[in-house]
Amino acid sequence: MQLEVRGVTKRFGDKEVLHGINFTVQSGRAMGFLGRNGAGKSTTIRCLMDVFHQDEGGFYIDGQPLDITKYRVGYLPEERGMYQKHTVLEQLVYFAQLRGATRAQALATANYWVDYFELGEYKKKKLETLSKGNQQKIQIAQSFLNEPDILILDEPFSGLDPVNAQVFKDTIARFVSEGKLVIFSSHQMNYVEEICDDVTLIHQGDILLTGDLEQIKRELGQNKLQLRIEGMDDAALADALRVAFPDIITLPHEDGLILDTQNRVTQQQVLDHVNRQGWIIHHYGLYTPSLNDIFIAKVGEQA
Amino acid sequence: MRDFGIVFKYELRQQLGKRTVQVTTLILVLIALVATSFPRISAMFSSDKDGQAAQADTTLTQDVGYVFADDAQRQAYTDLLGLQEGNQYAARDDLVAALKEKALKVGFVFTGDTSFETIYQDKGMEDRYESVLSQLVSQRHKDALLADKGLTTEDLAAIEAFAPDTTTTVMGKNTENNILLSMVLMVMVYMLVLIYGNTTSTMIAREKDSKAMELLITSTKPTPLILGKVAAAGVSGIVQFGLIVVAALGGFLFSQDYYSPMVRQMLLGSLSQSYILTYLFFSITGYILYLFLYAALGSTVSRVEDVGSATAVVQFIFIAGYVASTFVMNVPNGPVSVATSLIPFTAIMVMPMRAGLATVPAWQMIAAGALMLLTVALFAWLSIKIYRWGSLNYGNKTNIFKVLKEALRPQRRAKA
Repeated sequence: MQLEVRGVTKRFGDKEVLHGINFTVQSGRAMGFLGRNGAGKSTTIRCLMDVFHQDEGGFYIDGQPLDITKYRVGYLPEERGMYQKHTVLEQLVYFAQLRGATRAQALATANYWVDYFELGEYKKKKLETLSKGNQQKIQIAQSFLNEPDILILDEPFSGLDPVNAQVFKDTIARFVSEGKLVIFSSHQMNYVEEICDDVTLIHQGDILLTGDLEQIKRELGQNKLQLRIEGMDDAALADALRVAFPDIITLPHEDGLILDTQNRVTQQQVLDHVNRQGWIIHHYGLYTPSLNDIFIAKVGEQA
Repeated sequence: MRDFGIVFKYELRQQLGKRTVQVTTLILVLIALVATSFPRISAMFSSDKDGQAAQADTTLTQDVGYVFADDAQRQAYTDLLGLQEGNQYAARDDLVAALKEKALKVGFVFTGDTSFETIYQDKGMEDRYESVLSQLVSQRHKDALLADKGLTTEDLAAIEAFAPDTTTTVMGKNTENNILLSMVLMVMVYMLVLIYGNTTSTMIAREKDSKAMELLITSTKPTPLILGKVAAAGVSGIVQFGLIVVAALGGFLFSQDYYSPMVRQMLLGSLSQSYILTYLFFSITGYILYLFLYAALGSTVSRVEDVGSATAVVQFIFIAGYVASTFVMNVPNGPVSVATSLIPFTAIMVMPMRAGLATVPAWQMIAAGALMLLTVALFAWLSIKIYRWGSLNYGNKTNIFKVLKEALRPQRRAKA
């Protein structure tokens, strides 16, 4: 299954918040949808969920216009909210039934996910009596009801402690391995990096990059080295290297200076220079950017 | 239809499962039962009429003192009331002294055949001794005057009881007979709409407030959601009020022999089949119409505490209908009555009131019914649109015109 976002534009009054965005999501590959606050992530997701209607463009699944009601969709909205005064199990059963399950199926799936998150003792409690973390788990549980074909999760990690975050990551991995289509937005790059095969970066309503995360890392790391010398700060090192190699570009980084060789200087030339200078290497290697680096670099370019 | 059933059952279970609703209903049912059984209950406690009479007879003798103007008067009242020595005092000062010592509750000082002074040490709210003695003195005086004319009290009663022999035929409705029931039913509809209208709008506003709305509209379509919620609120209101009516009716039937014939006539005189059908049709359809309005307006606010201000306009319209229906009592077939019985927002109360008090032409009944059904359908459709639009319109201040403009704006979809 392939979901294609094609030329989606959304305006609120005179303000255009999505400028004809395009990207694709493959089933069996988790897609991380990244962006700063107000970049357009939730608006895109809400258009996809048919909560908002886009002004132009559309969503297509395997080439056909998407009718979201025809699929089993698990959705975790950014604005968390369920019935505070209703009991946990009855409202999960209700949501499962509304999404097409019979009462028996709804009871089975609701019980399964409540037990899965180790909240069995709260089934007959009102939601408002649960801690915030447990309420968050119930919210997540509702998105997994009925074994969805498509999972759309807006900031799913917010409010989760590390243990529950791990349980959640494992669950996402399970859905991905079962060939489900998974999209989730997040600010927490480490989680996205761990789980996602693909990423899409949105900034101010435009897609800055989209595609396979490893490939993006390789492309953005191409011709780049990382170097740190004992007893020399990165600024001094950058100055010294630019004298020797005027064509290289240096970029500061917390793990060591990044050298963008522009494919005009070889690794051997750099190492020979270091040896000639008698510098003691603290760290040296090919540079592979983290998702955090990619995010900061790409968004920084637009700032 | 499937989702409508799911929403309806869930919301109805939530509504009727609330402890407050159950307790309130139970209390109201008991009040209705006791109130309508009151004539029988009060009769049970007032069965000892002889005892009461005996007690009444002691009103002017027990702890009461007298000073008479002369011996003839003393003798007459002693014979009449069975006064003892202890009841009689020689002079006003003696009587006052006895009152001060709390030996008496009240004292009477006669200054002539038909004049007396009443003296209390402390007078309670319920103390009316002077009235009782006044009646007795008046009756004695009247008897004396009649005796002078050679008449008795019975002769006078027979003269006063005369009435011409007349027969009244009412071709249509008798306002006198029907007004009580019509008013009771009108007040019930008034309460039903206001209570459950507010319940409906609060229920929807709370979903926005708690952010559950987004999950709902991504789980099913707005149509089953709003129809299910309105139907559940409507049915729970009808169930609650139905139980109260059944209790009231049960209490009335249990005690109907203890009601005065006039009250029985006023309550049962209007209960024709056509009146009940008219009342049920306009009350239920009008109730549904208002529930749709309340539901739509509930979805335009983001916080539960804003529901009151958002629904004020509907309450104003509804109260206008209530006022119009009270006007109808005086002129059931006047132009204002006819107009307000045709407008669906006021017909909910005006048409049943008119039908109870006067004969409504068939064309007006049919036109009002058709208009009501069309308006319910129109506002059901509108409320779905407004609910869909309002469901994610958080925080923004808005007005009804903007809501309608935005809600009715056509939406585009992806094309193949």
